[in-house]
Amino acid sequence: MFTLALTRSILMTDDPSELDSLRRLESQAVAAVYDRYFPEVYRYVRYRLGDEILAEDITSEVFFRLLKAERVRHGPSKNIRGWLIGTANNIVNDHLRHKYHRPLVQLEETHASHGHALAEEVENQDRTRFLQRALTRLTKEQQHVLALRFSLNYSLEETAVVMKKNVNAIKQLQYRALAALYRQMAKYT
Amino acid sequence: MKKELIDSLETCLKVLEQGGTVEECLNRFPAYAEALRPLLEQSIEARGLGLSPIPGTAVTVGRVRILNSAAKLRQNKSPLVLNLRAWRFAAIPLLVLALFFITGNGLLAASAKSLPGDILYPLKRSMEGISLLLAPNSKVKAEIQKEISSRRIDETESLLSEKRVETVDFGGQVSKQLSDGWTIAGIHVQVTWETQMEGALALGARVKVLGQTQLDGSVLAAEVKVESGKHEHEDNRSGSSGAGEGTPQPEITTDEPSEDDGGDNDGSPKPTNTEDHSLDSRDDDGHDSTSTEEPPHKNHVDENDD
Repeated sequence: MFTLALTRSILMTDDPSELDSLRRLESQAVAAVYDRYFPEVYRYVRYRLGDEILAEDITSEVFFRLLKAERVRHGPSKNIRGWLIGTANNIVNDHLRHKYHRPLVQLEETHASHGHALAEEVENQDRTRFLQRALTRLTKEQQHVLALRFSLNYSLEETAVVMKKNVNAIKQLQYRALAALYRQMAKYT
Repeated sequence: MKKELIDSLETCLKVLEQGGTVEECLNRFPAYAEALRPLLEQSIEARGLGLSPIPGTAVTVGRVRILNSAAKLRQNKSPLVLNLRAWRFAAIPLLVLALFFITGNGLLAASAKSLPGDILYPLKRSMEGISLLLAPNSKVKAEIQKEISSRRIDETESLLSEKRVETVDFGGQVSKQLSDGWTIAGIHVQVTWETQMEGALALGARVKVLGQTQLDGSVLAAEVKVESGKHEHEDNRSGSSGAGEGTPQPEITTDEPSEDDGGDNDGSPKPTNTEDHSLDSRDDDGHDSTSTEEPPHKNHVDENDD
């Protein structure tokens, strides 16, 4: 039921009068769009990067770019949600591209910071960190599809709309993404 | 084998989403149990990454930021220019006539220096249209057209150097492929998934661009229309000021992470790569360094092969 409702909402176009109000940057419309889409954009970014503070900043940047685009009449003409997720994907990709040049945090340091924690909790945290790092080693499309499917719970059809692919292509991409993630995780364990 | 396996994975993911177990899934597809098990277990772990709740402060702080930004952007709008844009097409003939009768050549000369977004700019465009109409023969007409094309590029470069955000249109040759677009007539043109493409864009092709100048020195394309294929014409901006490249040599920029290719994104959605359509032909571990980014405009033709 939930999936069906979400599918309908992402495949439908936004209310034209709301889009007009957004184009005029009216506070009420901006607030309504922000409240409606913030959770999805935030979850998407946090899933991709695994960092809450960074997710806050990047989510704000996504909405700020929406306002800038609306101001010059280059904002989304029909589907705000697709535009926002696409923009979030681009900013995350840019961030990861820059991060590529920075040294990664050494695992030993993070172990040290949990010196007095329970062994199981540390192990879980490490596993999550490994998983997050493994995720960033996939291709951008593979990361994108996993975030849409497993973080936002998008259906195949919704994912296909956002990624501008057909459903079969999404199925294949998802298969490869999970297989690649599994192989990456196997290196850590 | 692959298609059934991929379909069974999707079926199992749905079962898991509805509260089923891995074992239940595997019992439904015993032939693929060995291949499916690690993927399903990995999917459960991957789904767990996104479960933590959203901090309340994140929502409220961001909301204040965005509403403040909206208020600032509203104040920066120029209603006069926007209103003029709305009725400029209807007003152009009247304006031209009035100028001829009232002010003579003074305003016309002033309009020649105007840029897109200026009050006199529609007059400048009208005068160009009239001069084309009055051209005595096709040779002269072609010369005028060439000069006008060169002028459009100069105007765009002037707007970019003045950091003004305005609607522009210009034509030129594609000389370079960038991570987020193309260099056309020496101008960095960003192509996004909302850009309307007409024809297949390629290095060396001559294209018309309609877009918006950006503060980062690029043009965000709304429409790109390919007029001709590779090297059919010379770049018509020889002799014009600006980038001074003459006829640029095509050049390809790859998606290799680098210091200077990541920061120029304005955030507008870009088209995605067309990978993953041949199951056995690529490295799934996702190392970007092995791949070259597809042209941002490229349609996903291969998706339809499925």
